[in-house]
Amino acid sequence: MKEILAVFLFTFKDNIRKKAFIITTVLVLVLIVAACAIPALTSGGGESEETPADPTVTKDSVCYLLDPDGRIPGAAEVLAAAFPSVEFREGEAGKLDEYKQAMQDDKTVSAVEITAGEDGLPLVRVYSADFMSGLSASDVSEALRTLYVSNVLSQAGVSADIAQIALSDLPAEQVMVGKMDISGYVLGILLVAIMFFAVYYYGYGVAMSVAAEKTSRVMETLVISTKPSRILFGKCLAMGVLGLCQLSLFLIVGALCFQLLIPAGFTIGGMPLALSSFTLSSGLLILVYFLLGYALYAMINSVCGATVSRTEDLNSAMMPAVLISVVSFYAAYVVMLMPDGGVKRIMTYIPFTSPFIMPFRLLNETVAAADILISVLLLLAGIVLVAFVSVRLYSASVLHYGSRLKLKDFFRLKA
Amino acid sequence: MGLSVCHVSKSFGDKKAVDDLSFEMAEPGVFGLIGTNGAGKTTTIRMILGVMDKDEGEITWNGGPVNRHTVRFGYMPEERGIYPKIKVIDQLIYFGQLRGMSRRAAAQAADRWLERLGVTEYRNMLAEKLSKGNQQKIQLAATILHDPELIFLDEPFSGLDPINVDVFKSVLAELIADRRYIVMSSHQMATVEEYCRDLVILSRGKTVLSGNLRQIKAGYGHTNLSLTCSRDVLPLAEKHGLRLIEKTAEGYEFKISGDEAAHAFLAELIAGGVYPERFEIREPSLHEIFVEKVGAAQ
Repeated sequence: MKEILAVFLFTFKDNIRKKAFIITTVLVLVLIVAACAIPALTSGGGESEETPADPTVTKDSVCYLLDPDGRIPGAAEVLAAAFPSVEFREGEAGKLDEYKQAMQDDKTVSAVEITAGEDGLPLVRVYSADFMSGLSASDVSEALRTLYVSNVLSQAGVSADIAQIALSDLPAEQVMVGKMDISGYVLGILLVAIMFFAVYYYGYGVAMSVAAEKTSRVMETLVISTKPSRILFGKCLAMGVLGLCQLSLFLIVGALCFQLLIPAGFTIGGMPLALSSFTLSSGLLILVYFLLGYALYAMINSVCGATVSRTEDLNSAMMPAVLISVVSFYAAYVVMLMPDGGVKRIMTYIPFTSPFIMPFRLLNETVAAADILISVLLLLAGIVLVAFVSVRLYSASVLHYGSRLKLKDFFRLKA
Repeated sequence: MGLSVCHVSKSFGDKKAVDDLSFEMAEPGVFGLIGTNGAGKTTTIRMILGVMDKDEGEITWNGGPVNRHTVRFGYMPEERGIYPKIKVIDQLIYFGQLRGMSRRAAAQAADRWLERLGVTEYRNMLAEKLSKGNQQKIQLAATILHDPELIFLDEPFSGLDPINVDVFKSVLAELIADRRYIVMSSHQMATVEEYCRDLVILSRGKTVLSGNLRQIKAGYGHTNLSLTCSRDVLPLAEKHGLRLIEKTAEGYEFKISGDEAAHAFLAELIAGGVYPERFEIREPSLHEIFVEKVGAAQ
């Protein structure tokens, strides 16, 4: 235990002082603060869509309205209210080609033409230079629809009150009885992404640390000083704790910025952003999955690091480990959004996929305690099995120098 | 009882790296493990240290197994290995702790050895900033700072300048005086002759010679004559049946069939008014024995 602690402290101190680690930490913290500050700076709080038209808004484009038959009376006023930055001018039908030429020369020019369509309905045609400029035909149609229907109802003798009711949207309210809301969904996706990042980044750190010791030939001194398994466990533990510290720092700073910088009532797509799906128990279980998931993949990565004699070969040596983690991550990502509970449960039990799928499920579903227990036990069993194999392979390969070891070579090597 | 290696073999695939190796190091001192590159020296050391399994045979220390619990051992590998980006003192403390020392004891021992080896000024420097010789001193300190009983030195003097060779030799002399068991592997035969009482010579995994160096050399008898002389004595030497091995700036090296021929040669030199500055009848050097034995085996 003393030796594991010595390896742990040495690896931890060595890695926390590395420039790459310090720069990454500072950069991510700056990004977190910036991401939280953007809503405060723009200060719309997501409510800009509802802001009423301001008559003093500067007009930055011109649109010619062509309605020679007067099919929708009052269209110019309605459109001006709906698109406050556009100056609507009454156009002449005979000058359409002239307007089209103007659009070619100046992309801020557009035109709306109202003609007779099928079934007696007016056809709204919008002309613009390209898809990036001008007005959207559907937006214009939507803006004119109420006016047109109101005119039709009025002509049919329907009273203004009844017409108002007929044109109103039905009041509707969505009530979710499950755990998933937009916050849980976003947070779940974010956590799975963080989990994948942690598995890859810190696992890579373990592999790099092992490979660097082989390259500098320190390994030979190390393995006679203590058991290879102690070096392996000490290293994995150090990188895991380092990762946990870094992620905790990110989460704490993120939570503080969320509290201090995000404006009250901030919404994404009209949905409020909240951390209500995060409970103490789900937080603790996510931490458990983080640690166990990291441990599982770190063991595999350490063996990858032990197979190479030069750090340049590390990336290709890590391919099997990367492949397992990428496939598991994407499989979990796809399955966690599927309604089918059967596949989801199977993925919950598989040690390679459970660390990716469980954080999302814990935040967005009510997961049966038995499922959690089985999942954690299987993950632990997987770690023990992988650790057993990893220690054997690590011990056998750390003193191998020369060409990179291939999978078949392991069967010939004896520790 | 010391270190005993008994009928040990190790293969890698079809290649026999060590074949039925046996030797015993019953008393403290320096044991020579000699061989060409790829002869099986490093494999032997790794098997003794327990970092590599042997296929056959037995290795014991004082009659029991060799492991970290039964004996404190130190190993200075041929390929020097220290952390380039870590401070010298930090890595020495780390190595000490890995071998069971407390942080404080490791720091004290590290400082003591840094001072003994004359590298205290580099204590807080990154190892990569040190010269090769000074890095080798750090490696030596890392090997012995936990006060090991059994020490393996793989090519300890390679790459050192004469001043540092003397520093290493003085440390080696100290360790011998402290009754440590030292297994030394080296290609520098003069150094092996200087320190090793017993040795084993390996060639392609097989033992080609083993035993007490003095007895081995005595078994050959007086086979060589070293002569330092300013005159051309070759015709006279040939007349007495002396075969020239080498002519150097120092003089001549002859192969002799016995002491009598050499004495007759000397008598005739003196009678002719030629007085050699040096006339030494001696046993073959370890270098010659090595070349003869390993050359024959290959």
